Amino acid sequence: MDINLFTLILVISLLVAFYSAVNIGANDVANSMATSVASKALTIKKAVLVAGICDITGAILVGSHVANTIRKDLVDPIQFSDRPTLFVFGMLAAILGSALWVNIATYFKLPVSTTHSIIGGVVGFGLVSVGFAGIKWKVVLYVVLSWVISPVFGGIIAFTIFSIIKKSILSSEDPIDQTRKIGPFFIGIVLFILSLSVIFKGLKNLHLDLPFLEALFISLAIGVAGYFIGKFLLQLYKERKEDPYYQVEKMANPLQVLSASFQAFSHGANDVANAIGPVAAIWAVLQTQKVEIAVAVPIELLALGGAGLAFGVYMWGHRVMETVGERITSITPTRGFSAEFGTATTVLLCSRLGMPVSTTHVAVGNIIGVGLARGISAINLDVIKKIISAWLLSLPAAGLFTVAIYLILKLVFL
Amino acid sequence: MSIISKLFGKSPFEPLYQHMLKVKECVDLVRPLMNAFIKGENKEVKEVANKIFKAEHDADVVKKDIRNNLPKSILLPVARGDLLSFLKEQDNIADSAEDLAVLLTMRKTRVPDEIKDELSTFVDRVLETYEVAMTVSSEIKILAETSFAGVEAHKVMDLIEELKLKEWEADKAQMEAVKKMFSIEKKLDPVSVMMWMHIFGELGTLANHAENAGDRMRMMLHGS
Repeated sequence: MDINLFTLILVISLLVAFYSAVNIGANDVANSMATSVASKALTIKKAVLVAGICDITGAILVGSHVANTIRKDLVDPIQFSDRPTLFVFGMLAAILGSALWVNIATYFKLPVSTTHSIIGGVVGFGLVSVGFAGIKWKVVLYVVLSWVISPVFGGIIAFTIFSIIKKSILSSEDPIDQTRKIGPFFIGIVLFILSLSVIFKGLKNLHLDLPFLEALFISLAIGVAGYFIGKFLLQLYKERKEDPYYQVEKMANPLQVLSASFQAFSHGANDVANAIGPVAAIWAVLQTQKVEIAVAVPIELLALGGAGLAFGVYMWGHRVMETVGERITSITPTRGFSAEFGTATTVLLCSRLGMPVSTTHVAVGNIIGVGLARGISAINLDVIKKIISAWLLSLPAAGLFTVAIYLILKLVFL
Repeated sequence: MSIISKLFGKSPFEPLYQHMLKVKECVDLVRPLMNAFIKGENKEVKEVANKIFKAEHDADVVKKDIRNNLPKSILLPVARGDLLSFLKEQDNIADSAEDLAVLLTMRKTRVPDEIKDELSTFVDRVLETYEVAMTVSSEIKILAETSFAGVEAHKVMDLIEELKLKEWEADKAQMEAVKKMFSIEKKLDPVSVMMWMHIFGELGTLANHAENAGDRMRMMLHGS
């Protein structure tokens, strides 16, 4: 294949991937950080900074799993070993098609998910190029199932966490003292999960591949350290002559910032693949001049995607959070922590399993989970209907756009 | 705009609290109204009544606003039906105050000296009942904060028990006042007797609604 054409395609796909990453970062930053801004735990400036950093580290450290699913597990590249150009065209069409669809949908204010769009795009390309049998339907089924299961799973975690907070803190005789006792546990657990996901097989890119037991031990140590640091910090809090429940929320502020950062991290881990997954496939073909699936997702690409996310957060996070923050003042730090903890844990788990899930939908599931535990004063369940219809629309729409672009590329260049 | 922010509906608890304040405005005028009535100052009765009508209307506006913002698709920490019937009972308190004001302005009923003491005590008991109901209602924001459980919920439950006692006392005071009125029935013309029955009845109804509001609050705490 013509090297110049190939380079051109790579440059275009990198640009589109970066553009998608910027979009994703800008749109989703409010999901994790708006609660912290609304509760005044962080200024918008700080929230943007924290979200950017967490997004980029999540993308680099854990982003490769989902990227692998998108680039080689849905449509087996081996089928294209004698015609790598078609594969490259297809992947290019998938990013262009889904980016186009997301932009159109956003224009019409439909709550579409980039995850669903990219999967729709890749599957659409597979259908038109190698046909029904060329797609690994089992993987597709797992992915689609994960879209249903992840919000429910997250919702159950959030429900449980908030119920624990309710029982042990909000219902107690001395809520402030109870916060001092229970709070450090939550800090420890967040740090434990976070570090386990990073250390266990996450540091491959840094050539630090630790066996499970070792990783578990180190993570436990970090969790315990977090427990004691949290205990120390919460002891410093001086009681005031205010309503104790407002004070509990105040004490939960740092906890919420921690869980929001956790959520931004897992967002980077999962959503970076929506932008760079197909590019990773194109990159691999360019590197080897043939369709090769064993190549790992290059860290440069993950960094590029992560930088795109962070750039989007930086450029538009300010505006998005201003508008969202005003509307969600009803979600106080204890509620925010429960929802964010559930979201982040679920998304991170899915990321490690290579499941591209919609972080926004998982967040919605978690907030409803807190609502079912009687934690939120009013939730519009209408939103669920809108999400499901946008969901059902995204797969075929993004698929059709991809197919159209793929056919045009084929017509023009071959 | 993010789907997350659309997920959050308007909280009904702050407006419920505002509604309580409007109802309180109404009921706080019952004492001046009755004082003017007992003294036979009809002009003042009319003035106070007009203030009650205004406050009652304000409460109605808040009530409608709450109802309009509570479609069936909204998920609340309490059962929607319980919340709405609590709102209704709380609003009925203001309605009773309004009806009483209407009664007193409709006809110039003279208050015989013999029943002044009993009437005054009855008004006291009714307003005491309402005070407890208002304390219960004013806890609504804290209850939402603690998600309707624990120490706060117990505190409110105790208040609701107290409310029942107060209402019972108001009932007793009502009986005393009625008895006293009939003991001087020879001195009263039949239309006045009818008016007195209505006035006593309306005061009693106010206390009943206060008690009912407490009961609905209890359902909110237990239910869902």
